[in-house]
Amino acid sequence: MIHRSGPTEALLAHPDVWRADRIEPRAQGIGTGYPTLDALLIDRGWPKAGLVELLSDRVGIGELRLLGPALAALNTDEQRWVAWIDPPHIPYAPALAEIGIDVGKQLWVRPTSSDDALWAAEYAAKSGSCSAVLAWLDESKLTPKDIRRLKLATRRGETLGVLFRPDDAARRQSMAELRIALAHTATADRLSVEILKRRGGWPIARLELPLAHRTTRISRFDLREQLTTWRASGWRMRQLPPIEQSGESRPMRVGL
Amino acid sequence: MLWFCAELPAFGLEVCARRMLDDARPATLIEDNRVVACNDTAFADGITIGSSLATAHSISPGLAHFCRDVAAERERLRFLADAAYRFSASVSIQEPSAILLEVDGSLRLFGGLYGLKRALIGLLGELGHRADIGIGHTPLAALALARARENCELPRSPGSDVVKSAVIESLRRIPLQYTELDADAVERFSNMGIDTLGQVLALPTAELGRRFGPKLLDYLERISGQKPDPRILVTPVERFTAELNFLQTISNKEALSFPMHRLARDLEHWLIGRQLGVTRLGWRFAPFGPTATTMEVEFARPQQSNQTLLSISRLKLDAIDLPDEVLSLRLTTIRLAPWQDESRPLFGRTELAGHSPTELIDQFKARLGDDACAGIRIHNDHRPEFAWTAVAPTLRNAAQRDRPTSPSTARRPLALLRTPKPTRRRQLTLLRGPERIDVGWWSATNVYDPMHRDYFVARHVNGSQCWVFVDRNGDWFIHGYFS
Repeated sequence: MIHRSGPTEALLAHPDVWRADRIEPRAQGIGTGYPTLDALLIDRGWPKAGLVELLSDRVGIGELRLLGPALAALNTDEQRWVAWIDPPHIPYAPALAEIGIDVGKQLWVRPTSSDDALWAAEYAAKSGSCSAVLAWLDESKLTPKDIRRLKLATRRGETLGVLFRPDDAARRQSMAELRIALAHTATADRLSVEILKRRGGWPIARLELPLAHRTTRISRFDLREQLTTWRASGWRMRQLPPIEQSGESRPMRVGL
Repeated sequence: MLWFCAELPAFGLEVCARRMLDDARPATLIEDNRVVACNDTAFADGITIGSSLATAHSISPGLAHFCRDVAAERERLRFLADAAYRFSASVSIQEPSAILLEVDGSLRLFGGLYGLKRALIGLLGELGHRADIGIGHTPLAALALARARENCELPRSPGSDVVKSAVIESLRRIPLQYTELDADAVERFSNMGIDTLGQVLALPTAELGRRFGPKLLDYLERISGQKPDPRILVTPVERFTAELNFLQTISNKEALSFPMHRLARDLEHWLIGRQLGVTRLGWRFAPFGPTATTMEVEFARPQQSNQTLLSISRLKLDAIDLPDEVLSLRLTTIRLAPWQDESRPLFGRTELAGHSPTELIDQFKARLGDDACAGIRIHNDHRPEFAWTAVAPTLRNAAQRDRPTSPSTARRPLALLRTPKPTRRRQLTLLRGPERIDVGWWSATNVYDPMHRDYFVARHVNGSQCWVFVDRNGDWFIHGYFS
């Protein structure tokens, strides 16, 4: 902190002077479930009505687990859909339920063209029937105008819009109110987060979050031991003749 | 007994003019080359009843003229009777252009005599018909009073004696041409200097019978209520069908929205009358010729409002090819369901209340195709591919929530690949496992391909965390991502 002389301090204290680093948090967003991240966001969480971009080239680094706590909270609080527009893979119900998401409120939309996907995302957002809209859109067809429309739609329908885009979208202009680049870290179950754009603050470079719902909770020693046992048994398994002929401990096949 | 009669004075023309796409165009109804009815625009142009067709055309060059279509009138009257079924269970048709309702039991629900009268006029007006309402203690009295446009002074919910005396009083003033007496009898009375029903009723019955026959006496007894007058009541039809044949062909989809709206509004009133909602309806667009295009529209929940029916139909319409020139349009209901209005919260979210979760599904289905959106559920099966199912989307509340079924120690990926992707062992760092998932020999599809896999949580060399398995041949596959 630079020591300020009296007159400057007095000037800065004047109520008409607006200082970018002193924005009062409004605390009305959807808590992300990650206190470090919440503290950086003006809404103290994801915006309740607004568009967020998550930028990453990889699947499987924890991009959905980052949203998990917020989606679980939305499912509990609201009787509205969460729309999944054209996700690259099947939203796997058992895993969703495991992290507290209500699978009965998920709406999986599979449009056949990129135009339809964009229409569906905008329509779901503005309809007001969705608490959140997660969209994977065709990047080559996406224009800044489309993103602006999506943002307006999320405002109108009071929806949290989340747009998944590749890394190089960071170089393009976007109207989204929050843009976060995601990357993997050296260790598992951690996610590197870089806030490219946020309201009421400067970009934040590189921040490592430990992900909720860890997949690995096993010591290196235990794992090594298990793997050794498995290798031994696995070797034996592959030596065994096919299931059809090995009778002893398997259920009998009747009438097939 | 209290009867309402809705007499439609311009019915013949109104039925024909439904085929016009422009209400402001002058139109006349023609019988024997003479104008028998004209609409307001034609009347303002100066066309008079009784002038010849040629004269009418020379006065108003844009004139549309129609010949009377008795079959269409009969069908329409039947439809109106069905729509009026919402006011009373005893509706009967009086051809050519009146419907009769027995309303004794309905007065309180619809806000008394005058509330019901307003509602009936409003309904018919919305369906495009001007109506005169007559109220009487017998069907024939109501009919005669409606034709004569005679209003008798009645309180809001009158007793039967009050009605009877007031109606008979009004009936006495009615000129004979508004009664059901045949023209011959009316003329003979007129020659005798007798013009109103009151004068006829004052004459001695026996003499009247001798001169005019038992038919007249029968009529007088029925109109005054001395003799019962049973009516054939309408039983509502089970299925709605309506058709519009246009005057000129329509060649763009935009222009179709007006007649479609007309039919959808008819359907809405029919559905309200029957307390039904439609879950599947069919549109048929026919050109001049045998080949017609049909379009079926499905709804996730029974629907009534014409706006919903239309907005979904329009989305579907955008996606199909129509004949170049559409000459007739038909709307039918294919599947109906009992109507149950959705319960909405009393407070809160009012600004969004216009849009229900099922409407979103309907819109998606109409624009993207029937199987473009799905809900997901947990399915109790230990094989990963079968541990979930896609179902028809219905929003469930917290009480019906699916609970995770897999063992709590197991980890499942949030994103599952449709088909496992081959990978190499050296690209993976195993983090957790193994979890053995074995066979599915009981499942017919899997008889020749029993599943025999050891699953691991692993980290791919590119940084993603994945769910991998090794099969009995020692090949490694990625089956999901811990997104």
